[in-house]
Amino acid sequence: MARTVVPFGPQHPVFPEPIQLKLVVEDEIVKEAIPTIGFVHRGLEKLAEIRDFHQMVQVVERTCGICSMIHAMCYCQGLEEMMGIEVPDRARYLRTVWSELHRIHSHLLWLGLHADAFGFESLFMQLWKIREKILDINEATAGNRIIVSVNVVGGVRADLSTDQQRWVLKEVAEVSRMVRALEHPLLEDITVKHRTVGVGVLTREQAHLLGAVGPVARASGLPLDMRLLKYAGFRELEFEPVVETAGDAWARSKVRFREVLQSAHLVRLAIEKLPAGDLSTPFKGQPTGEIVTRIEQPRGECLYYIKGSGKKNLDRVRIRTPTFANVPPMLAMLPGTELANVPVIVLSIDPCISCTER
Amino acid sequence: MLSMLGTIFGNLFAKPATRPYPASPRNDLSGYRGELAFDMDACTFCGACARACPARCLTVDIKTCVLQSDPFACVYCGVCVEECATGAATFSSHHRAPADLTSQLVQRGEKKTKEQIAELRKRKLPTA
Repeated sequence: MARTVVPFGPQHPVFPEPIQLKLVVEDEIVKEAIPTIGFVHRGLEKLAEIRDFHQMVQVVERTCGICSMIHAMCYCQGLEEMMGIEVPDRARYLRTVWSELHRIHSHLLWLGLHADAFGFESLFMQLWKIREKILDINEATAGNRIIVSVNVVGGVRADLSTDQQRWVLKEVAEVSRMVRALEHPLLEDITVKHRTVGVGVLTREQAHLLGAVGPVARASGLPLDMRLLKYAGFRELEFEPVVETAGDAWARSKVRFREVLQSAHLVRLAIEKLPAGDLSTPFKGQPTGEIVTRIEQPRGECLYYIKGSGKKNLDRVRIRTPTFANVPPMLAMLPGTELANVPVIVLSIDPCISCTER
Repeated sequence: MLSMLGTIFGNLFAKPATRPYPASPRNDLSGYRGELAFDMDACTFCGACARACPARCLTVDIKTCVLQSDPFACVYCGVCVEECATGAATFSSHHRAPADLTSQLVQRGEKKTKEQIAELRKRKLPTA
């Protein structure tokens, strides 16, 4: 049969956000995929010119509706390094707690969407039911369910009381237990394996060459994890990046599944070691200079470039989100696969389009 | 097959995972930033909240003693509550009711004397 171009998106049931892939197919086999982005550009970076650098914390937080806290944390860490502010130990650990809670709920959201993409709706509902617990923790401890607004330049704004710490530990242990109970249907079920094993394979070499980040790189055997840069509480907390070697959609879901449990463990460690002290360091002055900071988001490495020239408004904020880095690897996964597998493959990189377009 | 039996019997006797909303609404969690309210008796119209607001949803006029807030532009970050020196800005732990039209909230107060302002500043509870 002659080659046909099938438009996939921008509106498609598997996409929570709009991206278009023009799929060149031949007999239902994908030969090539051409992406189009730019449907949800919001111009957040431009706001740096009219909002002062304190107010930009709330702006960068809205880059992503899932890993919002980690965006603000990356931005604040950049400014703190630029201005030489020493963050109190308690604030570093609290940031770790909330960032790992965000990683858990982001991965649970993705695992649910992944189950939905291959048609396992009850699994999707079970996973999102667990995610509610994490959102409740965010709501009770930080004041909001997703966009928690806990970061300020110099520290954090919210604290965890002893009662709250005990409650969070209890809830996180319950989340771990509930997630473990879903291991078999999510990773070992024969139908699930049929839809995911060997689908969208990305070899280690491809992952390295195309610059894959986060769980996509780790599922292909690359131990890339920006938490190893020892920011925030990870300076003292010991952990090993979760690495799988198969490089297919199944390996990517396994990496995220194991990371949920790992993050729950890290939350536990951070709360147990939570030092006493101040929540933020007061400082004076305006940011001067330029800096690049990197942080590990649920989707992978996020990069912030910040430039200031001693004014209250920054000259430039540039955000490179993990999905942007993961689009070339995704395009490499698609050729040779059946059209029916495209939703599973596209979703397996955990695309976050609004972040990418900012 | 046998492994499914546990799940089946478990679900038969388990509580439902959802609540019959709105018959039984969810309990508010304390610490949640719900509806933003301003106490006009405590407000000194200094404008610190309006200057700090990242969403620019507040306008304060010290001459006419009018505070205008836009609950539909508010991002519920809580910066104004922290900035407020007299504790006039507070969050209730209940979320704002949905509305079909956007509207501005205009509140009027009285001008405070220096002594009143000093007294009000002392009253603000330390933030947890």
